[in-house]
Amino acid sequence: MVRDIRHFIDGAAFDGASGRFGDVFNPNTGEVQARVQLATTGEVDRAVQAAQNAFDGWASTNPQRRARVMFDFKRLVEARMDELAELLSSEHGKVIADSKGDIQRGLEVIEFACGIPHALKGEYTQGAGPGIDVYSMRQPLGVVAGITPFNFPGMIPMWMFGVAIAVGNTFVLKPSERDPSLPVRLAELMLEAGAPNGVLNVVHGDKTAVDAILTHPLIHAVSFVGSSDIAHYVYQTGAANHKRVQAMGGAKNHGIVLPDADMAQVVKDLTGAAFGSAGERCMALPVVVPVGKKTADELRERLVAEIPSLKVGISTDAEAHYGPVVTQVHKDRVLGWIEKGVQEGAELVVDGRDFSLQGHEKGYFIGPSLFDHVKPEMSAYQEEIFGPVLQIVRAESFEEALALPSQHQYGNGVAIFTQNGRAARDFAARVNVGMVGINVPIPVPVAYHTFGGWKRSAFGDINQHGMEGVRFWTKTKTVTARWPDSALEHADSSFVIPTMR
Amino acid sequence: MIAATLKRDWWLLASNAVAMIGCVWANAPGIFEPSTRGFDVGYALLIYLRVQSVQPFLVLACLMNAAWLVFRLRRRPRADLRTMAISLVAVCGGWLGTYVIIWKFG
Repeated sequence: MVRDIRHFIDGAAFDGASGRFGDVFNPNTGEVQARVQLATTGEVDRAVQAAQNAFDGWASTNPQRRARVMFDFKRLVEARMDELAELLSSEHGKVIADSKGDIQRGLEVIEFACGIPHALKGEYTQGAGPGIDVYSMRQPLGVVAGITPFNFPGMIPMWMFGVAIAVGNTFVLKPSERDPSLPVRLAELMLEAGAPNGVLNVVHGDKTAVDAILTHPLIHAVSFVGSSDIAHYVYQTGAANHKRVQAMGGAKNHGIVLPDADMAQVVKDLTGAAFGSAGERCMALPVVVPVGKKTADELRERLVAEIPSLKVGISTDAEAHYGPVVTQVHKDRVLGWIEKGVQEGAELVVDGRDFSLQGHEKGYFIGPSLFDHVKPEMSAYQEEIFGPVLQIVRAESFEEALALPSQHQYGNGVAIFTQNGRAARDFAARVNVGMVGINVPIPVPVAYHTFGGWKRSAFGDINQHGMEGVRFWTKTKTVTARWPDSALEHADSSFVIPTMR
Repeated sequence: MIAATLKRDWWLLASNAVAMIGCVWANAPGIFEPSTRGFDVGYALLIYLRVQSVQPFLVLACLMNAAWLVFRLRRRPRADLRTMAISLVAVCGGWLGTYVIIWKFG
């Protein structure tokens, strides 16, 4: 009998009654280790009602007290880092060190949220007219929701609820049903940190739960991270139901390598960015674009030499560079894309398909694969693979290299490797992508800046976390106040729109 | 008779009592920390971590019980049979009670 993973509603574990469950695997062994309850529309409503009941009290709690809850939450998560990372790895499959990084990047947004009293300050104009002052304030929206993906079960929920709760909203989180335990644990720790019951609720589920969130009249904003087709659906459905929506989608990030790049460093950066976390990152670097034949040949030679030194192992292996992918279905999908690349004519230089880890033959492991001579018209280039696969697309010139990520359907992140500042500056200014790294392979911005891609990588116009996060999770109220001196001013009706004379 | 039993087998009874308390502490943390009762994953993790930490002591208690049994069976004057029976009932009853507490409150 495997354990059930329950919802977390109104400050306590909640047993759902849908009778529907999702299997939660141990990717290292292929065994089902738990089953997660999938919510009904009514159970989502129960979570929303709990959040609605908690809203008035939480929104009227002064921002400094809300920040103190964030400080305590950060302390609790740090104190339990080992336990949380093991929990994350046991369901996702990424190695423990990477899980700690996942949690840490989320905690950095919590650190930002600790300064929320400052970020919430409004603007003030004294004397906008005779006896008139104008000031604005940012107010919470009410009940808001987050729908998060399997690949960062710690970081992305914290990106969302960290800022949303700190500004005074109450939150309903629907994490991925593939690795749902960590988000529940985070909600428990938020409660322990002092957040009142109902401020952070977790409901597990599939499309039923997602649709219930997107159409619920009490939910005012939805943040989503996942694949592009679903992101588009979430954006459309949420907007049609009068919600503010930010929906982050897929990615196909390119790394441009100019001939003057430090090639040894590039190879180290590329292997980490392409194969780390088994390539299951929206900011992974699955495409490398060397400029010029000489650069391409040298890069290929160095990659072929470097890749065999990568160690694929179980999540708890401290020496492993990456672990298994999340499920057998996902493994089959990645293997299908490798096969597709071969059929389309790309050269499979390193083939990781037959990799098997001794003693863990049923685990979802895939060895690193390297393609060369990948062409832009191939579907294996155009689509996101989300596995440990690196593709070399050769370019003859800087302009050709610049055009590749700019014209790709996704525009999440891009990196350029060069020692030429002018070329890097020109690239950063002209490339049609949302986040740019200059000699940085995974340019995920720090918590006080914002995360967001362009084109089919993001639907909606406000980014995650940082001040954009504060703007997304709040609405602006502007007050125009007039305190006339009745002795000096005539009382008079005005039938034309007021203007400043 | 009970006094004689306590005098003779105090180390057995004491070590089993400590192991029983450890078992309840590990398997039913809500008894000691009511605030964790509403948790799901945290409760499971707490139990997992505590069971791991008390396991060596449980093994030690088992070894002591076995040693006591062997020791007493090998040299058992007739008068000792009653104290031995009382000790056995106390230990078995204690563990049964531990199981019931964990089952009800764990």
